Amino acid sequence: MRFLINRLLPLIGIMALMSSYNAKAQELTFPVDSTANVVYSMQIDFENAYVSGLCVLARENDIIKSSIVNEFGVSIIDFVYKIKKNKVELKYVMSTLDKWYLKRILRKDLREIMHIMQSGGTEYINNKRGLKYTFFLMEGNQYSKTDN
Amino acid sequence: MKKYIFVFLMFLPLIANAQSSQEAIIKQINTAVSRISTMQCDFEQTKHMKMLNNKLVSTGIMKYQQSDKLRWEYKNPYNYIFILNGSKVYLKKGSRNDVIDIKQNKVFKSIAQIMMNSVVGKCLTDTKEFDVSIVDANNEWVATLIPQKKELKQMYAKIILHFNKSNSIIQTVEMCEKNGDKTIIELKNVQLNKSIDSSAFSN
Repeated sequence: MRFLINRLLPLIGIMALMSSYNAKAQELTFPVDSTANVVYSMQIDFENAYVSGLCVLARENDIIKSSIVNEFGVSIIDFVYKIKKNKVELKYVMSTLDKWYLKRILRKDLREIMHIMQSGGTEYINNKRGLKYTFFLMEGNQYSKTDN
Repeated sequence: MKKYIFVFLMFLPLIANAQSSQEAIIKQINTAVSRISTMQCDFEQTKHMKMLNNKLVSTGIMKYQQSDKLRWEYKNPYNYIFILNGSKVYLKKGSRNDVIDIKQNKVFKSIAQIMMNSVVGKCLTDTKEFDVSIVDANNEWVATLIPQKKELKQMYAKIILHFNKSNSIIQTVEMCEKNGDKTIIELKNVQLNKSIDSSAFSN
């Protein structure tokens, strides 16, 4: 039994790591450590409007820090996802989204999106609220750089 | 009390001098701006994200035609086009095309105005929109604009414009947000008063 566990453990570890990779693109879909950020092109469709831009994910130990900004660089949402607690904390929300009921929805939806990104998905729909989130990995992830 | 009045009066000429110096700079910039019928350039936009200690760099081209036409096109790493033509804003991203009437959308009106005015430096005399202070710094003039109206005030703590002294043209725009993030746009390869095809500003 111990023999089996010892042989299987590395395999399980590799499979867990691979789930964070888009096997086709050979790129990270979710940061696994602090050495590489992940950048998505993202769009949030509301009932009568939409917001689009980029979503940058960076990892510090068991915390994911993320900024969603529009194409002009204007910040939309800054949030932190605590992996072990499976909890999203909003650090900044642009004024048009800064309503307690919207923030509650965003916290829940972003938590779901974190799970989906980890498994390489590209879409999350909140049918109850009429919200659709689509996100596509930016190729290369080369333009997210450490700010010196 | 007399001592304080005396000290204040001593500094009054300095304050007055600074104001007249600022007015002279604004006058010089406005004169240069009034001579711009068209402007085209490349731009590099760097978004500094404080929380992530990270930056995003994107590049594109800008075309401006006096007085109300602007094309702001991102080419790398994403394709995104913002066209302002009179009261209409056209947004193009992928297969998606949107038309927005800025007369009915205050937020977009503010964004459109700041983009239009900041690329050529027209906003320096708009005291309703901004509280302006200008500093003479080596090869450039640095104008700090503090938004006064709600729509921009919610987005930006301040906007800083860097003018090249030799030609009074903007070379850099810094947009400082309330969350500590900053976006810096550098204008490069600027060409003035060359003809621009009208199709650049259409949907």
